[in-house]
Amino acid sequence: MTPSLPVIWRIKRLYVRFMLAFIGHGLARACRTDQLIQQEIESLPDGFTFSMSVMSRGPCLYMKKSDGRIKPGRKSSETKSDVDIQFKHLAHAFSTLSFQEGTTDAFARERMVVDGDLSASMKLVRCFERLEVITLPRFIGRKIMRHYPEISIKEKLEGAFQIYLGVFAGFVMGVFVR
Amino acid sequence: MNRSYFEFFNPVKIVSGNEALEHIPYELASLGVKKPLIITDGGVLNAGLIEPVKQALVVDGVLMAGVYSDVPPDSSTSVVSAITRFYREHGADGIIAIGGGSVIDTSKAVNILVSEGGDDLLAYSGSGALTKRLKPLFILPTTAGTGSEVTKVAVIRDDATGRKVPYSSSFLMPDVAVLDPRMTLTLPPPITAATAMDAMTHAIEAFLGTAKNPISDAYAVAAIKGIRENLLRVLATPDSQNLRLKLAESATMAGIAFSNSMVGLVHAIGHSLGAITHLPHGVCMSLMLPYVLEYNLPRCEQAIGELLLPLAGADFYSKVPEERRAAETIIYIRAMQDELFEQTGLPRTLSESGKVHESQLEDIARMSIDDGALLYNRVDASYEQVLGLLKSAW
Repeated sequence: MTPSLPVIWRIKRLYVRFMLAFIGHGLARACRTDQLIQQEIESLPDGFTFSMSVMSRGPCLYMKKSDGRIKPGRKSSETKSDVDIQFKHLAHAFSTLSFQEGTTDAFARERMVVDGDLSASMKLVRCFERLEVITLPRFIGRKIMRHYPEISIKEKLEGAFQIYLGVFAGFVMGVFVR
Repeated sequence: MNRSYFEFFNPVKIVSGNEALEHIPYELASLGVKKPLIITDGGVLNAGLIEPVKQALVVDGVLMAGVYSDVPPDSSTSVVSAITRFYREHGADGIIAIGGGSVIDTSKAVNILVSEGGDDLLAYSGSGALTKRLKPLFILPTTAGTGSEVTKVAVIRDDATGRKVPYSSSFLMPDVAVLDPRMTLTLPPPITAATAMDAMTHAIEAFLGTAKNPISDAYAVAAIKGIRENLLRVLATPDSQNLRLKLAESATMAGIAFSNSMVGLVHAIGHSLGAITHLPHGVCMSLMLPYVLEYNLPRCEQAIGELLLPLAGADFYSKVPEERRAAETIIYIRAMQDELFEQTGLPRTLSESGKVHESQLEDIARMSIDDGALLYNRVDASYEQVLGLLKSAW
């Protein structure tokens, strides 16, 4: 019999699931509204797919680029993504997605396994970092990133508004990760 | 909360020293290998480097499955398939790889197919596809630089698409790496210098990167000291077996260091530089190293300063005030480059290499920022910053 998950871990799992959905909808919106993310996504081929999940059967975000835009979707078990990022444990996903640990630190500490097209995964990392720059308070961004770029308050607020709007719309439309 | 965490793994048995080749039969028997296949290339064959290996096997009565000596410099899936067929037809039960990077990567890939069965190498690409031990693999490096004899990665070009496909698994690591001075004795001075500077870069980037750890640091420092003490002496007395061996051991230690803490921006740029201009990998590493160290200096001053001890020795290190050590490290590396240029013509700038066009710099910068090694550099770099570095190195 599988022991039931303690409440604290259920909450963490729910949080990770929410944050993966946030990234998915945020990225889908930002590839239309943010110039830097737009450029990175444009350079990926149509049909490009990536997944970010928690081992072994934890929350999973799956995204696919079609008609020039990247959108969250559902991953079938047979599909192999072009880039597959897997956190080794829910604890690691929680630390990274709650911004206690930056993306590059998570890579350096081997919290995740990356498989597939490595150059495309570098583009995705830059997209994630750009999302962090726009949506997170500066003091958090500075703590978890190797380089925090110059960004005006106006650009940050406008960008954040667009992304939060996209995330809200995404949730309302009911496109939610598994 | 201190979130520090690291992993370190090196299961490769290092068999190193005088008459190391003569230990191969015992090591083969220990792993139950009765009929090994030797994989090598034409250059190694023509240099006569496989003769002492064959002799060591014959004297001990080890039956060989054969010698495959047609591995090209840029190996591909069809080469891997051909060697796999050869292995099966001749009833081999283990592999002895003798050569540089291409031979070693090819042998690792052959080991996947002969162990897992089938002929579809791509099915095992990426990381995590291999889940069990492979057949015994022995590696005898003939250059002192790549460190591939202790790494878990192989890169093989896919003939169908032309893409270079990475294969990564702890199971790709060989069982035994044999370092015998006879294997690197005939290496020409320019290649000796370039490959040693490749190893030096492995060690320095391992020591400075975001994934550094106390154990890889120990290997990195020992490697830097070994290369510093022996490279110029090897160039002065290329026939010295003892010095050649020390250089090979240092390169292996650098390999162990970087396979556990990764490499950084020098490699990110060097990979792209090599892919676009076909400049040899060691040359790319050597000429970009001081420029990247200068770029990393503001964020890595202490660590770069610590490198002065293994690089310049205790006497010099103790005379330099702490705040000057990082700058002196870079000055020392530049002085080393000048010396290598004098002795072997190893280029110090991109223009000196004669193989790079200024018009290629933008493409190199664009490709560099998509290289995974950049993630492990302590200082991030944008396209503009990499282009600036390349222009400085021009």
